Amino acid sequence: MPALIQKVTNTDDPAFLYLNLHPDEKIEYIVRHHWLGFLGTFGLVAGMAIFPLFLVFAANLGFHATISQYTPVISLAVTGFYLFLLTFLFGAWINFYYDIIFITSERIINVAQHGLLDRETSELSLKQVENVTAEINGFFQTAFDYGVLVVETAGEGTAGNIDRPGIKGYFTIEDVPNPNLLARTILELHRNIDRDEDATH
Amino acid sequence: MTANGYILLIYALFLLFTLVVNLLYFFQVFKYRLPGDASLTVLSAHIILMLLVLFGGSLFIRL
Repeated sequence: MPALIQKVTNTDDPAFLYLNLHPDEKIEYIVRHHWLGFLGTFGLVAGMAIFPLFLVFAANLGFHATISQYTPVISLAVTGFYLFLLTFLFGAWINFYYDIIFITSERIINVAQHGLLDRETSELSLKQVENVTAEINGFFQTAFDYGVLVVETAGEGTAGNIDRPGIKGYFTIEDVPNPNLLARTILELHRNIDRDEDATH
Repeated sequence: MTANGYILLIYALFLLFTLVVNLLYFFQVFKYRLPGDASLTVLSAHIILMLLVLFGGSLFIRL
């Protein structure tokens, strides 16, 4: 299983073309949301997958004589239901897995996958960063080391959290793995930019 | 058309719709996947499961 936080060695790969990286810009980390954030959807699909089996079993117990003549239709309906469920699960997985955060030497690029062919890319210059907060709340987030990363900016941010709407200048990213490492990395990159600017002046 | 004919027609339309949606998802995966990610593994698993359900269901109806 690929790591949730990935280091990139070859930024010239055509897969990164859509990010429009600047000539000297390097991708430091590619961050995907923690898999526990997908567990709720997976649990829902697993629950729905058991439902027709239970229904057919119960109907078979109660109306065994009548149900046998409808077996082909019931099989067709159950097959269709499972095909729908698999397609739904795959779509939900794409929405989850293709939500990616790129931390480059100059920017944070947040790619949000909302649905089929529905994608939103927002970016934040590291120069604008004022403060970075890592929030880890509750048992699961503590045990599996994931949480919320809040990047406070001088400009506008994205509305990821109802308590911190984008217009107040917060860039909120939910369910990120190892938020403390990411917060530290972002602050170090911000300091590097400040240092480079001071050196040129 | 008989009742069975209508049922098969509805099922065929549903399969066509599912195929189109899945092809759009595949397009999205091939357009946005990144080197070294899990996209192709999950895509392969999804295709195998879909075919298993499709052919498994058909076989069950024939028996």
